[in-house]
Amino acid sequence: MVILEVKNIKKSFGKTEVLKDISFSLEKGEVLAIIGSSGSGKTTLLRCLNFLENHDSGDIIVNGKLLSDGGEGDLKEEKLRENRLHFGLVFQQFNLFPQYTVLQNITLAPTLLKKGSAEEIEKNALKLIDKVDLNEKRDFYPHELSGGQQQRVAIARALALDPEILCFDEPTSALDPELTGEVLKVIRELKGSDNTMIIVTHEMNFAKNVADKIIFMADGIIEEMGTPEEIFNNPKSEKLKVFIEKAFSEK
Amino acid sequence: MLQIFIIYYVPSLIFGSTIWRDINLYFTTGDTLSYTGSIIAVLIAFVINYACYFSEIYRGGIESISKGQYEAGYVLGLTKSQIFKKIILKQVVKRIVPPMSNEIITLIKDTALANCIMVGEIIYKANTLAAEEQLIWPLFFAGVFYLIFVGILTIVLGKIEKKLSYFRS
Repeated sequence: MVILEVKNIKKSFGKTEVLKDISFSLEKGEVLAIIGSSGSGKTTLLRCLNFLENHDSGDIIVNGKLLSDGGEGDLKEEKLRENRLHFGLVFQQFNLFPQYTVLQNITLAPTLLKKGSAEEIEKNALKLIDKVDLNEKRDFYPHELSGGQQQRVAIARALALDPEILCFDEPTSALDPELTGEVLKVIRELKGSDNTMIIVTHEMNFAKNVADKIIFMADGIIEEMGTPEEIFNNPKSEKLKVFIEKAFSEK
Repeated sequence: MLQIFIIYYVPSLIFGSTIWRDINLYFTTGDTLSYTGSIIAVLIAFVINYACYFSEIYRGGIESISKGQYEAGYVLGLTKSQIFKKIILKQVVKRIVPPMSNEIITLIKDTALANCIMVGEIIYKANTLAAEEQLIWPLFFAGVFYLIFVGILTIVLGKIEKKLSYFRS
C-alpha cells in the first residue's frame, strides 16, 4: 500500500532553487534513505514534508489524502498542525525540551493534544522508553544525558504521537562516532516493527543495510533512485559514482 | 536624571503649564508641602525608562531561544500558544533572571535621582536631617538601608535563579 506520494515538489529560497521537481512514493513499512552531498536539498525536502517549510508547488499525498498542493491555503495554522501530525521528525540537534525530564518530554505533546488519559499516555511513554532502552534515565533531564541518549529520547518523543511516517534528519551527524551505534540500533529495531521511515543520512553503510530504497539527491533533483544494491553496487550516474567513491574512500 | 528633568520641567517651559506643582498644591494640606505631583513625574520617568530596559531584556531572552525548540513543538503538532507557554517561557525566564536582577538593583539605586526634583526619598530626607542636626549619621544609615534592601533582593533573586538551575538550555 502506498502511504506517501510526493509529486513534483519545488521549493526555492529567493532566487536559489533548492528543490527542482522531486517526486517519489513510499510503501507502508518501507524505509527510505536519502543520501547526497551537502546542499543538495535533502534537509529541505524533509522540512517540506514536515511542513516546516512551505513548498512552492507540488503535491504531498499521505494515505491517498492530498495534504498540500503548495497553495496559500496550506499556511493556515490549523491545517499546518493537522498536516504535521502525519509525520514525525527527529532533528540533527535533538531539540529536546531542556526543562522537562525524559518522561515529560515524551508525554508533553500527547497530553497537550489530549491523546488519551494521563495513565494511558504515561504507559505508552514508558513502553517507548523501554523500546529505546532508557529505563534508568526516565527521570533525568536532557543535559544529564549523552548525545546518543538524547537522540533516542527524541526518537521516542516522535513515536509518542504515532506518526504514519517518521523522518530522521541526519540523526547521527551531531554525535560522537562511538555514540552513533546506539541510535542506529534503535532505528534498525524500528524497521523491525514495521514503521515507515525516511532517513536523511551520511552513514552509507547504515543506509545500505537498513534502507529498502535509496534516493540520491544532487543539486535539488533526484539523481538516482533504487534499491541499495542498485545504488551502491551498480551506480549509473556519474555524480553518484563520484559520491560513493568519496564516501567510502574516506573511511 | 535627565529624563526626570525633562518630564518635570518641560511641560512648564514649553506649555507654560504648572501641572506638577498644581498637583503638589492640590494635595497639600496645612503647612507641609505635598510632593504627590513630583512623585508622579518621577514615576512616569522611571516607568518609561525601565519599561524600555526590561522589554529589551525580554526581547533578547525570547530571541535567544533556538529555532529548533519551536520546530520541535511544531512537528509535534502543538499550537503556537502551547509552544510558547509550555516550552519557551520557562527557558526565557531562566535566561532573563540574571540581567533582570542587575536592572532591578540599578533601579533601587536610581531612586536616589528623584532627589533632584525635591522628592522626599531616602537621600533627600537623610540630607535634610544631616543639615538640620549637623550630623553625618543620617546619611550613613541611608547607605545601610540601601545595602540591606539590595542585599535582600540579591538573595531573593539568587534563590529564583537557583530554582531554575535544574535544567540547562
